[in-house]
Amino acid sequence: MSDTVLLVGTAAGLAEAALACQGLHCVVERVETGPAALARLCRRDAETPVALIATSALAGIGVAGLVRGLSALPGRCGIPIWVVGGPGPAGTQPFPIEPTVAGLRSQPAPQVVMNAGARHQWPLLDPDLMATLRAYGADEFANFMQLFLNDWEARLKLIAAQLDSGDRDSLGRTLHGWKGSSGSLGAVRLHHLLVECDALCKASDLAGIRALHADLVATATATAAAVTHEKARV
Amino acid sequence: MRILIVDDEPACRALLAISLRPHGTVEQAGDGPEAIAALALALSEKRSYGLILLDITMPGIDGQVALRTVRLMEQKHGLAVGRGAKIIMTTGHGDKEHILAAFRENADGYLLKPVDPAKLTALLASLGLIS
Repeated sequence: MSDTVLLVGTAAGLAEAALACQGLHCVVERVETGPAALARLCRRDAETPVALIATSALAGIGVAGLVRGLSALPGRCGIPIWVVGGPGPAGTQPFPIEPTVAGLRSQPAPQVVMNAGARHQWPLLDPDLMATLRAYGADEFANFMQLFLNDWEARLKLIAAQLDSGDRDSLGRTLHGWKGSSGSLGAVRLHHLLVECDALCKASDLAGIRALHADLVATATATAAAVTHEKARV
Repeated sequence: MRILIVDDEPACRALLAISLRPHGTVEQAGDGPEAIAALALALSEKRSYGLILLDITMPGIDGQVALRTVRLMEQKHGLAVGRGAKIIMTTGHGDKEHILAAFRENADGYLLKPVDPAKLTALLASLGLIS
């Protein structure tokens, strides 16, 4: 069953919120006033919403009244209230928080393994991020690049060992950590390969990861060479 | 502004630290327990953090548990919801369950890794931390 999100108010911004919720595959319900929202929340025969999205200029009791009313309803006080169209009172969150909404909307479908050609369309290193990091100074840039060189071989060995042992949980943590680290360092091709491996691990498809392992080793090795080259250019 | 970055990946901490340095004093913690210890000290010294960036998947205590613990500690020190540190989750988990769980525990923002420095700056502005 999909989660339910309750939209409260009539402001145009709610349409955007509704769209975001649809991207979330939520069931979207709508009421126009705070009292109507509280009445809806009192109904025991209806799905309890996972969140409320209210307009800041809520007619009647206002968002503050909605917060107070919600806190008084047994079993409902933990439901978050997101506010659109302006700042909300204490106890609410602004919505949309742009990166959050982007994150929600970009929620991928179950990961499809790319073919090698598509994967290799990514550059080894993100030139834009390299330029941004260089702007922080030569020493800072060199230190940053060194972070990749410090542990890439150890991470490969760890992944190989965890694949051999079939320890999916440990492998998942290793892949997830390197995925974030490689992305932060601008190692784009490796990052995308690790995204694939991480998704396969979550799907318990260790055979799929084994099929990608040679590519992972080759990509990490090529990335290390590119990072060494970038560092030497400082 | 006092800022705490919590992440077990040095590269992720480094990228965030570089991006945040213009906006305050940046401190780092490598896991949840270290972060909670830092916050406990900060609260006891009445030198609270204005901003905490919190990874989710970490050894020991994960970020969701750390978030809940931080909010409970703040409440015990008289900081009601909305009065404590702004907490932004920085994570590779883009699924609905993780995102909603973070906001249920009163996170203030949620950024997917790799964190885009421009998006981070925009979020800080929307949270009123920078102009």
